[in-house]
Amino acid sequence: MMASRPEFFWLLGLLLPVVIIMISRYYSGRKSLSRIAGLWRTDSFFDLYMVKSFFISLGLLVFFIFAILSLAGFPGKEYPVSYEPAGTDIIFTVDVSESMKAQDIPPSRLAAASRIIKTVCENTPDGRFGVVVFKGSGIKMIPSTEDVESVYSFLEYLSTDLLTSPGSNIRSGVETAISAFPEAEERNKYIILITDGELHEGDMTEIASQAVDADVQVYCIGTGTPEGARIPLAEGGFLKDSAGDTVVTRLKEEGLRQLSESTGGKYYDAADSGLLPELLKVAAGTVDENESRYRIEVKDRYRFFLVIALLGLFVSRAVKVVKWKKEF
Amino acid sequence: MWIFENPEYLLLLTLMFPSIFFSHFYRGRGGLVPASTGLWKSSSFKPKNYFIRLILFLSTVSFWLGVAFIIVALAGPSYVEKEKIYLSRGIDIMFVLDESPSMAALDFPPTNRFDASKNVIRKFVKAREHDPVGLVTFAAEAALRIPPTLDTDGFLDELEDLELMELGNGTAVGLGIAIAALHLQDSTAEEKVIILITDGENNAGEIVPESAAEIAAGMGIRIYTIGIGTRGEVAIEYEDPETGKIITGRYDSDFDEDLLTEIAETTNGKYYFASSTNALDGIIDIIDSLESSEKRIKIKTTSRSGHRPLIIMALCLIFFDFFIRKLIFREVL
Repeated sequence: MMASRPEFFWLLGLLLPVVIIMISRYYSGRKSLSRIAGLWRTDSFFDLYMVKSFFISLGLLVFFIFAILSLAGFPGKEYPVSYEPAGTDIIFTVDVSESMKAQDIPPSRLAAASRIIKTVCENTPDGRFGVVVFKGSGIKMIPSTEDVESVYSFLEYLSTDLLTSPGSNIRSGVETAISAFPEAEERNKYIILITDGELHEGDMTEIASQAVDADVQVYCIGTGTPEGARIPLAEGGFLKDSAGDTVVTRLKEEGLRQLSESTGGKYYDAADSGLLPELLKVAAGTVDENESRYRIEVKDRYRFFLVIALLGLFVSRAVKVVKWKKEF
Repeated sequence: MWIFENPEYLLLLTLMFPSIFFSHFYRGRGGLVPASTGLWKSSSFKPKNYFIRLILFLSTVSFWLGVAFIIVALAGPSYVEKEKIYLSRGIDIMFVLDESPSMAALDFPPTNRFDASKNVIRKFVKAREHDPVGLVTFAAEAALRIPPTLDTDGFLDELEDLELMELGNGTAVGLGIAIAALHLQDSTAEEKVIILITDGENNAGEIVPESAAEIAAGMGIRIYTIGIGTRGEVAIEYEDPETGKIITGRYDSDFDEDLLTEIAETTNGKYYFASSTNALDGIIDIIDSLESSEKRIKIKTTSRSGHRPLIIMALCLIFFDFFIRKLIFREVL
């Protein structure tokens, strides 16, 4: 059985100092007891003391262990939640940083992105589409709409000059895209993120959990190659850095892989020939009939452990408070 | 909204009172070795230092608070959210707004025709929660400002940024309708509506309004036409977007009522004439009520359980109590 939040098991490590403290207190307790109680009653006290400390410590340990187990939680009852997506919403999130000009994917990374967007729009008849572009920050260019014409005409002037802020802030791009989905509707929500993943500003795990909360799956398409390419300039030649060396832009896919997989999406390489067929299958929402009607939600089982924890605490208290043999 | 899944567990809280009594106040409780530091039958030892007593008190309180948290966690606190989900598809609505210089005429106090139109559109869109709304503007040319979308905020932002004269000087009604129709062609909505707001005669553009209206009619789009403005000479004031100069003057206002009526009739729509802000308001309300569709809604409830933070706090509090007692006060039992 797998815990739902196994990271809480680390807390069990705290039990070690607890046990050490309990044992050391037991021995120092015996010593003090013989001093305070006086020799004439130590014998009867020692037995009671031993039994009582044993049960008190045991109860407390049971409490700690089971409270931690209940924190970790175990998947329990499954119950179906009706779920009838009425269609597909796709927000294309396109990197328009300078590095997208590189031509390692012919004719250029950005042109390849534009082609992917067009093909997906053309082949998803009931879809609704929006476009977000990002550089230093994300900006919504086309709000979610069924009007693919407006997407096409936008693609005509998709270029790296759309935004002026420098950088490649994937996080802000995805954030803008998540907020671009219309509310109050049950649809399959996908973000198709097209980027060369050159710079990673912002933490991917946080943005991934935001997407999961919003029921959005992120499909990432990495443009470019790990070997890298140079960035051509309009006036000829290639982009150089301040030291005069030609800038080489390389695809860094780990972050993208992590983002897509943790949201239930997938990572694709733009150079991969199987990319478009697979993407279209996703967009068409081909899931089997039963799956689309119901979604299984699982409730955590934690109460059972918590009740035992509380009992442990109660026993430890009761043993301490109840006077045994009218003595201790 | 916070609810308890099993509130009956909260009854355990009442058991805390006897427990607290027996562990701290009951004279016959165990776990104590009475030892007197004074004379025969004097009271037993109690720390005098108030700081020590405060720490002891805090530690005791945190223990029982921890117990209380555990009990509350047992009751299963969860945060329930109710969300409205529309099951029906709304109507697609395209506004086609004139932005020729004559729209700057100041006969819609307190503003001009253009701002008055913007105000009613804003009001209309805010009330249309589930109908995709788009916007096309025209003057000498026509342009799509925002495609039909449910993204109300995006629409309102774009509407706010609209300025007169960005598309030249002229009134290309036909082009405006044609562009709007083009961007409605991919729509899956059962009903599509164009609301045209203009104050002039068609005098520009490659497409004659009549044929644009026929194209729209062929696509099953209804066009409501609103002619706005008063007849006769009116004052006019606008800022030229290129030079930034404020241009004022007088303008002989007139518009082609016949054309607007014809457009509306070919497409099964209706023509309205608005000569004042109130009239415009009323007309938009009429169109709003004419174009209402049946809405099917379901309420989706999502719940998130909130027991974990409580258990974590309870663990911390009871740990705190344990360490204070065992390490600082060296309690042996």
